[in-house]
This record gives sequence, structure tokens and C-alpha cells, in this order.
Amino acid sequence: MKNKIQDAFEPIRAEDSLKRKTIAEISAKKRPVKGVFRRSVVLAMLLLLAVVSFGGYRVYYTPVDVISIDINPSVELNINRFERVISWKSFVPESEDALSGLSLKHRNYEDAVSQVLQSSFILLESTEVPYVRLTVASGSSQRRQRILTSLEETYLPISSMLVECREGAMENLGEAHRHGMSLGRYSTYLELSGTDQEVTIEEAREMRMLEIRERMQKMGPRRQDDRQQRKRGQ
Amino acid sequence: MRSDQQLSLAMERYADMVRRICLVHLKSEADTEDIFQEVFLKYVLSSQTFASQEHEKAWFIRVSINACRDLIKNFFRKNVTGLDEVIEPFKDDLDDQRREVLEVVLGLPKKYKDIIYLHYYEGYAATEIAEILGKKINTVYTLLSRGRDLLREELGGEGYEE
Repeated sequence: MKNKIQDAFEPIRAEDSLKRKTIAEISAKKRPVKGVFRRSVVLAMLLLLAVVSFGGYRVYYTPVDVISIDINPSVELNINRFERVISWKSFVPESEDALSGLSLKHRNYEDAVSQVLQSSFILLESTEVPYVRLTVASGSSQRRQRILTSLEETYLPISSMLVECREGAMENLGEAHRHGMSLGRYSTYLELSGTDQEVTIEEAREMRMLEIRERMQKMGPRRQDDRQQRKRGQ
Repeated sequence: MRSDQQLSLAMERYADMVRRICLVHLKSEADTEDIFQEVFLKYVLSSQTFASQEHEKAWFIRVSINACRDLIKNFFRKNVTGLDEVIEPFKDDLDDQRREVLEVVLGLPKKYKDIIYLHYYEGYAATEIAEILGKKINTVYTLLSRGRDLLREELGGEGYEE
């Protein structure tokens, strides 16, 4: 009977297909160096992608220029090196809603300035002459010049508004914010305080932009034709 | 890691035996394929040296049986099929008598199957089986004796004393 069991098991043999498949699978698994290399390449690519993405993200979201739009009230646009608005800062809580309704982020600065100047953000008194002061600060004099020229070409010819374009200093930005003012308003205050020793920073913060301009005109005749002038190197 | 030549030689020597052990334990072609690959992959990756071919054969038996048992214990193992499907690949070589014997052996309780197979097909003595499976010699004797009784009951006749 022992022979019966041997005889019964005798035809049971590993199929050729099973052997071939096993050898193929094992051969594939025996190439760890290639696998490791492939995994390393994939990891390196992912790492590179992450670094590039992170680097790209940082570059995109790093502000290099500031455009301060001062009417009543004020808003600052933070511009990246691709001349896109990456954030904005309002200095009057009441105007936040009006600005939030605009599509400023990721817009070219020219579009963004245009949107702001046409929006309900502007709180003018009915009898008031629309007076706009655009102040540009940048780490690069070339970029600052380019933006100023572009803004001047667009807005100085507009007869329905009194527009001034000024150069601002990046180093004044922190100080301006500490006093609760935009860069443009703070720069205007510094300009006025150069001729008017009595003006205080609190006054400058509360005054309407047109009032500051009129006061500056009273203090110095050189301000008479500011609409077509641009003061640089503040 | 062992070479392709060593794998081919081991395949030539032990593939049929591993396949039979899979048949004893498993009821799924997919499970058989998995275990077959697992056993030979372990062999290729193993750094164990063998004192003799017998030593190597015993290693294959032990690894194959353990792999089958582990798979059976796995709750998530693939669906099993009936005995007919298990022996389907060999139907052309199995006459009625062989088929009947296989069905009886494969239908034995798990604890007897390895011992019956190793004793009656591979020709191992009880002491050798005890060593390969890591069981006490008396346990192997007992299981062999009870398995033999079951075979006799199912298949009838004498001659299971060997």
C-alpha cells in the first residue's frame, strides 16, 4: 500500500509554467541595485520637485515692491518680482470690505491699481477734488523706475483726478506701519514736516490727503505744480 | 545571495517536492504559486550553507510546510477551491485509483498529512520526520500510527505498516 501512495503522488510535478514564472519573479527581485537606483532617482526627482516648488513658492510670495495708493483711505499693494500682487494692506477697517470684493491678488500691478481707483474703496466727499498719491518703493531702482513710469503714463494724463506719483523708501515701510500709516501717507508726512515744524504724526494720520497737499502748498511754493512733478530720492 | 545556476539546480531537485507539499496543504492555485515563489526566493536570499543534499532537502521541506501553514493561518488568504480543482492540473495523469488515494490523503486531518506524505512518499523514517518538523519522536510515532489507521479505514487493505 505504500506503493499506492507513492504511485498516487508520482504524477504531481511542478508545472513548467510555474517554474518559469518563479524564476522570472526571483530574477526580477534579485536586481535590487537597479531597483534601489530607480527608487533613488524617483526620490531625487521628488526632492528636486519639492525644492523647486518650495523655492518657486517662496520666490512668488516674496514681495519686492510696494505700491502705496493714498486717496482716502489708503491701501498698499505688495508686488512680487513677477509684478503680481501677492497681498494688500488696508489702513482703514471700513474699506476692507470694498477691497475684499476686488480681485487684486495675482493681478498685474497695473490692473490692480486700476481696480482700486475705480472701486467704492475711495471715500471722497462730494465736493472734494479726487487727489491720488501713488508711492512706489522697491529694492531695485530699475524696477521702481519702470513701475513709476508706467503709472505716470497711465494716470497723469487723466484730467478728472489730481494724481501724483512719488518714489518711496523701503526702509520707511516698517516705521510707517508702526504709526498705523501707509508708506505713501507716511512719506507725505515726512515731506510736510520738512517745511511745517508744527505738524504732528497724529495729525498727519487723521488728515485727508487733499488737506495734507493743501498744507504743503501753503508751506512751500515749489508744490504748486505737483500734478506734473515727481519728487525722487525721498 | 545564491546565483541563477544554484536556483536552477535547486529547482530541478526540489520543485516537484515543493509542489507536492503545496498540494497537500493548499487548495488554491494562486496560493500554490505564492508559496512556490516564496520558498525559492527564501532559498536564493538565504545565506545558510548545507552540509549535504539531504540537509538541503530537509530545509526545503521545513520551509515549504511552514510557509503553507503560515498562509493557511492568514485570515486574508485567497479563496479556497474544492479538491477537484486542486488536482485538476494533473487529471490526465491520475487514473481512478491514484485519484482515490490522493483524495483520501489530502482529506486527512492536517496534523497527519505531512507525516503521511513524508513517510510514505519521501521515505523518511519517524526519527527523521521528527527532526525535520521539530516534533518529539513519540508524537510522530503516534500521528503516523493514527494516520495509518485512517488510511486503512478509507482505503482498506493491509500494508500501511511500512
